[in-house]
Amino acid sequence: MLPEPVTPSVGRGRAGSVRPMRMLIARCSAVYDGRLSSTLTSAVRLVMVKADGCVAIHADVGAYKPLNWMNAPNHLVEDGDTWEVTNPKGERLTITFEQVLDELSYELDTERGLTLDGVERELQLLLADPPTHLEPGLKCVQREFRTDLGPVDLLCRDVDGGAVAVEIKRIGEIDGVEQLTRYLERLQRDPMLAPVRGVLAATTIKPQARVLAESRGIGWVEVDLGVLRGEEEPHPRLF
Amino acid sequence: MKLRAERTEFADAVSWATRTVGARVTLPALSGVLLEAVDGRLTCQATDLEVAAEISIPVEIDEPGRVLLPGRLLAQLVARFPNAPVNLEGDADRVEITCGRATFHVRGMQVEDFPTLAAPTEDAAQGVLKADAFARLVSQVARAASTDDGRPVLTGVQLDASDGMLTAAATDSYRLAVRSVAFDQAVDGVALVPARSLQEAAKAAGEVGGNVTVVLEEGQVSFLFGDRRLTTKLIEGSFPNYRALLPDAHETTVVVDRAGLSEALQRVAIVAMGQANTPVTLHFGDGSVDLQATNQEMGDAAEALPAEIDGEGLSISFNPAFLLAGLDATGTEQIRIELRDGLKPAVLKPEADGDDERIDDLTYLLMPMRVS
Repeated sequence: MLPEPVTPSVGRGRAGSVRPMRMLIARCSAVYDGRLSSTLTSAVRLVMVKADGCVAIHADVGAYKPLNWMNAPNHLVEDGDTWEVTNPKGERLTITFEQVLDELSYELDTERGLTLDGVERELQLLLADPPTHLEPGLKCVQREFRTDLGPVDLLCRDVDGGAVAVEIKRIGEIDGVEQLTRYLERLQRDPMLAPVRGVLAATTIKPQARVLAESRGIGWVEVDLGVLRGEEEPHPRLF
Repeated sequence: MKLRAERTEFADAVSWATRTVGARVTLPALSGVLLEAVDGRLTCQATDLEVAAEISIPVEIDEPGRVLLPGRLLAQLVARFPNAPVNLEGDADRVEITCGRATFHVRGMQVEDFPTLAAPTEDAAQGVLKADAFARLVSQVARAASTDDGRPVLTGVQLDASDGMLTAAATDSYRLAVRSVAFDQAVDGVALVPARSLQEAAKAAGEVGGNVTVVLEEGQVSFLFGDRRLTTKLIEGSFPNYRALLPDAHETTVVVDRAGLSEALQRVAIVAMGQANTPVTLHFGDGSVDLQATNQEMGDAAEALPAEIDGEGLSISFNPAFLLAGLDATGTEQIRIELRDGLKPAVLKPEADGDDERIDDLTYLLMPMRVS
């Protein structure tokens, strides 16, 4: 038994309307016709229609990638045992249901995106006490040192007493170098600090960020979160 | 400039110069190959300011001259030329290249923009050794160098020339490879050479054969083989004191068939390779090496092979890729493994099969992995 058709069209909701997410566990087959042609033979699968109109057919393997999917905006026509999903690009996904085993329909909360700040905060705390993982003899003066453009993660002094501004990222990319460059420009105006060196610290630093940092005289250091936490490396080193 | 060259020689020369220097160029002129025809020879030069390659081939010259042509384009063209003599004619702005019935017109680049090539000074001391010995030395040692630019000194191979010997050492901090060969003509000096440049030099030495001349100078090293020369800048910084890492004693010695161990390791490692940091564990005891790997997602594997074991039996775990590289480097039928315990570095060495067999003075030190 197929569920009663709920929405003849998805992905074009009225302003203010909240559309539920639909999930069907069903024995179904599918044919996709668009940039290429593909066929899914009959099997029990999960069919999802998300609130924004995306349609995805999932198998019982893989973390995130559906077997077949159509990104919103889509037009979904439910005609008996067959769903026909089309989009403005001329792609067409036809799903033929043989048996619907279960159907769920829920309204999910508005997504706020992944929160990754925890890693950066932990890195900041671990690197501040003491920051010798960044360079020998480095001492932390202050965490979250304020500048006119926002706080720089660590303000340190090196063995010669020179000021060092450290920006900490989970992944060091060009944006991180740009951000540190802006902080350095402000910090150099402070006669109590100038000259200030910059160091970008991250668990991984992209090659482009390394090149840009070096071209601006900014140092970069890759740090291992496990080592900072005092965890034993699975592969010890000779030195 | 007007000249006539033999196709294979010309293609090899252009391709070697462009390949040796690589594609990372920071100035337009560095993407070019400088062709200079004079005194019956054509010299091809390329550089990225770190590495400089030069090769000279005999040609028939009607009119000497210099042109700077786009390296990659020229290399692609000549690689597909028919088997017929190549004619070059033109000036710095435009060169006509003909081969058989094919005709190409290539725009030249500004010759003046091409930098003066780094070259060894005439009075620099030179060491000479057999090209095949040099190529083998590099292939055995350079594999242990790091590819991580985060620690530049570990991306190099240290060449230490003293007492008539050339000693090469490389380490990525997980393993260390070190080997010495005798000079035919000795020189003294130390150089930390980028592993990639050294591997190109070794490749060229293997192709050309004969002797290779090593010129160690302040800040650069040059390798001369036949009509080719490669000069590279040295890596700045101090190479680790690797001699202090080499253990002076061991508790257990294992002698095992290298090919057998290598094949068993490759089979067992299949379940380990899919997941980073999955070790292969080797149990040594009762005249047998038992290999075992477990991957929680894929399954497990085990294999045993006979071995001569002198000393206490023990278990030790390795990164399979690093162990395979060590087995491959030794080259002999039998391999000797010297062990202290399951957490101390193991030493791999070639093992002579008989009294007459000459073996390489290679030491491959490998740090074991922890197994929880």
